[in-house]
Amino acid sequence: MNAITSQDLTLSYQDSVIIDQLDVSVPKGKVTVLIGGNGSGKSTLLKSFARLLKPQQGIVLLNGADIQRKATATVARELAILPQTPVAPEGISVRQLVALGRYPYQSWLQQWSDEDEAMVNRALACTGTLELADRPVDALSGGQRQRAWIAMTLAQGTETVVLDEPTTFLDLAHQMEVLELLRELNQKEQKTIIMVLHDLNLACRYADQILVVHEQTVYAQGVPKDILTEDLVKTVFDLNCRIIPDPFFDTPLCIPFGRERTE
Amino acid sequence: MPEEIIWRWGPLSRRINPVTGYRLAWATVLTLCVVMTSLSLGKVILTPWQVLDILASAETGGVHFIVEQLRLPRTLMAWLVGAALAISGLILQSIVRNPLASPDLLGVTSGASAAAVFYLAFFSMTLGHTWLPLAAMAGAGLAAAAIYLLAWQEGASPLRLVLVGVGISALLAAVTTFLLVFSPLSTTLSAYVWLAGSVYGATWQETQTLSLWLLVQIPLLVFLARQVVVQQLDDSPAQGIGVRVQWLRAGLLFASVALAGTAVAWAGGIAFVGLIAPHIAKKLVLPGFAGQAMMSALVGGLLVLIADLIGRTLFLPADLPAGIFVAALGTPFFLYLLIKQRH
Repeated sequence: MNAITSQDLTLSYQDSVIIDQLDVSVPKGKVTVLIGGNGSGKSTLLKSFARLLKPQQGIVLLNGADIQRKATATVARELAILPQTPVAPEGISVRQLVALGRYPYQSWLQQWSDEDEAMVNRALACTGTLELADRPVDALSGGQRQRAWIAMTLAQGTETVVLDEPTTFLDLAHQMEVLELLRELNQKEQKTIIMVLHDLNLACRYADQILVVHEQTVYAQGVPKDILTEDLVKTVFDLNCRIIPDPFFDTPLCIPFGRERTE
Repeated sequence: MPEEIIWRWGPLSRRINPVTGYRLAWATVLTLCVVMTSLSLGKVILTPWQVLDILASAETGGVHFIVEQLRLPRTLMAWLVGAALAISGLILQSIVRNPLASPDLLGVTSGASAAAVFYLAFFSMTLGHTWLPLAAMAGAGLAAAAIYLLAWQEGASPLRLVLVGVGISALLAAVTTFLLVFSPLSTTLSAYVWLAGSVYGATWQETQTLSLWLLVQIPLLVFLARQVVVQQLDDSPAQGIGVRVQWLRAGLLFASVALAGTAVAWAGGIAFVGLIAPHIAKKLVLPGFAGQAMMSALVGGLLVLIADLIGRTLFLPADLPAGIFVAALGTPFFLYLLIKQRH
């Protein structure tokens, strides 16, 4: 079963085509990581998965149905997205931010149910932001803020979570913290995680499956071990490297040389 | 930070903050005090007890006329105008995410001003002043609609709204000045009072019409209240949690323009309230639209009320436009709050 499938998908901004006639599927219950060079269209593809971008041609299926035909609130109950560097409303506390994730379940009458309360507390607890709950989001450090945003997407209680570069601006320790959290969510709650990462080594370690976005399409797709080769890195990133097995995790480890140097 | 009270009754559920409720109650008490003061003071000075007696009795002559026909409608109108502009400004500041936004930004004041001066220059001789509010309202609505349409580019982004708004407002200000320069002196004078913002000579009939126009907008506000905070997220996370951003933004803009347009139509260029009152309110209550909106309304109402009270009592026998004192009162208080917060 696939969480997301695209059929004949073409995405473009004004006149420039970003993704051209793509057929791809993302399996349920796995961690899928999108990699690719700057401007390759990873984020654009991710946006179309979350219905933030209307395809010029073709369709995106979310849980087997055309995402464009689903109601906005329905999509929000099936898939949560964390965009790159989001901005929180002025003065809002962490708990209030996380509570916004319950929006698709609320109505004018029902603005705060028992379930809303329970889901928000759970999201705060499992992202370790419970003790930050009453602090304003503006006052948090980068890592804390990112965890607060992840908590908001978790409060949405969706099966699929899409994240655009969730580790940007974080130091290595905080990057690991976020990735561990996401993997835990995947393993404990069978959530489908789809994200863009820039660090190839971390991508290989945490991904069940990698999608390489290159030249307006998915250039390669599969288990990291099978697809991350020196040739692929050369083609996609125009970078010479050596790939060795990671001595601790046995996933591919990429050692970059630079464009000119080969040894 | 105090706990929120969660209130559930059948299918209804709400989160209520006790601190916000407490402060709103204080602001309401203060408002009632100022209303009493406003009814008591003027050329004829009365005690609050006399005012209560007068309001309770059914007589109509003398002081009864002064309190019930002159001071009461004017007091109510001042409060309503301030409250409407304040809520309008609060909504607008949240949409464009710019603390400097006021209803002026969407061309409400400039559109209403241009239309009002146009009306005063060409129609007031034949039609009198009866249709002036409607002309001003039409002007405000047209200017706002033009700005919204011109700013549209695959959706209306806050930044484009601000830029187009500034441009159109400048253009309309030029039209207003042009009309003023080529009008006879009598028109210029009445236009000038209107532009400064005044509730002078408000009658019961005008106050009733204004209340009706505002009353019909309340359901829209109540409906949109819970949506204001979600649209303060960026567009993508807002859409991600299931908000139809463009519809919501259009609805909120409409509410903001309708509120400000109505207020400006009856009281003229007093829109500075819409900039300052929401800021003061946001310092007094915690984030959350319903609480902020109620506090903004109370602060805005109070500001215009006090401004008008000063304008009509301190400089007797002159009766100065309230607009002058709104800025004179609001700015120092706002600066005081900012400085207090710094320490």
